[in-house]
Amino acid sequence: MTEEALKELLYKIADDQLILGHRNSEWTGVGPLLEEDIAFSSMAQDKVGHSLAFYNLLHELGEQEPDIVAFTRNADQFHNSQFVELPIGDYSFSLVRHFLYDHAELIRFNMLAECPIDEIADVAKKLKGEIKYHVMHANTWMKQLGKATEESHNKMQSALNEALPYALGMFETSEFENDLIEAGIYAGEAAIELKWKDNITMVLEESGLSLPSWNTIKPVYGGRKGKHTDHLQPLLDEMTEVFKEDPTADW
Amino acid sequence: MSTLKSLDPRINRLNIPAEFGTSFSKTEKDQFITYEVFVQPKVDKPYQHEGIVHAPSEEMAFLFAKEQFSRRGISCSGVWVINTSNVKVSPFTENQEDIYDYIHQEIIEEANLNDKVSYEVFHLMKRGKQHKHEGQLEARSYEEALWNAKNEYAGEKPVMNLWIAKAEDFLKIEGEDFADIWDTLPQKKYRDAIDYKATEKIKKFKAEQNS
Repeated sequence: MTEEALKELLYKIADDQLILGHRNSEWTGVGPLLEEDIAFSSMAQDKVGHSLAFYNLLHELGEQEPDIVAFTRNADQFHNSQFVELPIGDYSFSLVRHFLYDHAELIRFNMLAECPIDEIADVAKKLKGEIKYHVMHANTWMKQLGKATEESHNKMQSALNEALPYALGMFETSEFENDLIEAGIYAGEAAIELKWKDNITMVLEESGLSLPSWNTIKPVYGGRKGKHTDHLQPLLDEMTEVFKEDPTADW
Repeated sequence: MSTLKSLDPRINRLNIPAEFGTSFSKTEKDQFITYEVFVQPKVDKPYQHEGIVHAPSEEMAFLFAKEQFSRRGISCSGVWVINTSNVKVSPFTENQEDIYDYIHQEIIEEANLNDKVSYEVFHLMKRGKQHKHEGQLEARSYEEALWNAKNEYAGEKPVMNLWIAKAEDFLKIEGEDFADIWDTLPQKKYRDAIDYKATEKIKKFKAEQNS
């Protein structure tokens, strides 16, 4: 396995976390309930923190400082899935995305916790408890709104239908997939996808929400290779506004 | 003959009935119901009351409680939530009187007895402090739980207020299965304003402005 393969894996994880963390923080101050506002913001902050841990791993592998990596790349240099860059929509979409994303993240972290590279395993072990709470949070909301009223059920179902093709895009494989699997770094995207489908199916059934047949959903790929929607660049422009004002500022 | 009534709230608050049973539930609210939140700061420390969250269910109350009341601090090892109306609250005492002195054997004589279940008992020792978990005991009614609490927990220090609730009415997120959700808490000092040490920077900025 080459270092390039490892970097590619770390970049896609970190970029997903940074972009979703930034997106979810857009709810800060305008969340549906005071308590939920704080909880969702807190998880968004966790996500940005997770991306920092992975950018640090990349820095140890010779990449630039985390701030430079996070704040100076253009959209086509980001490896995040298109799923995480989509606008927050209404709260049902943000919750469904959080549910679909964090289930995948938890599986990924459980795998990485067994990674033979200690530095990566340590980060995964340290952070997976936070993701466990994120998944508890997502599951509880899915069950609550999936069954609360007809309106909430319909909103969640339509958000789910809208999100699924993009969610499958999280599992877009890289050209290094087999190298990473052979080196035992993790079991690969297809393995995560398989387990993810099982896990989300269980919760969706309990939530009274229905899954379309998987073979009718066409995954939206491209993000991992730098192909993004028009939504990413404006997000980056906003996220980097303060940094670009004075890149040397200490804050 | 008319009696003069004091307007001093410290005296008016002292309306401790000579006897009390279980008629002292907190009043309900006309919005999401409230849940009382108890946090255990460390495995060997008692749970203590941290505050209230509004929520539509106890599971959601936990989600909110975790982020409202355990997102800062040195450590946390568990959170209990309970529907406020399931907490029985005693009157308050003043002047170092012990609430247990107001609990007499008569309290259990007329109580309806049910199956024996566990009750959690919380003590408030001082106004302005939090209710702390004193222990769990078994009883066949709230009244019997009060009486048993007196026998088990009354001590030299006066207790000013008591909370009693059935153990089964709590959602308890604790133990091995959940310990890791608070693993990184000690590293989250940045969530406290006190972690931002700006004094030196401000001094430097002012010096630059004045020069």
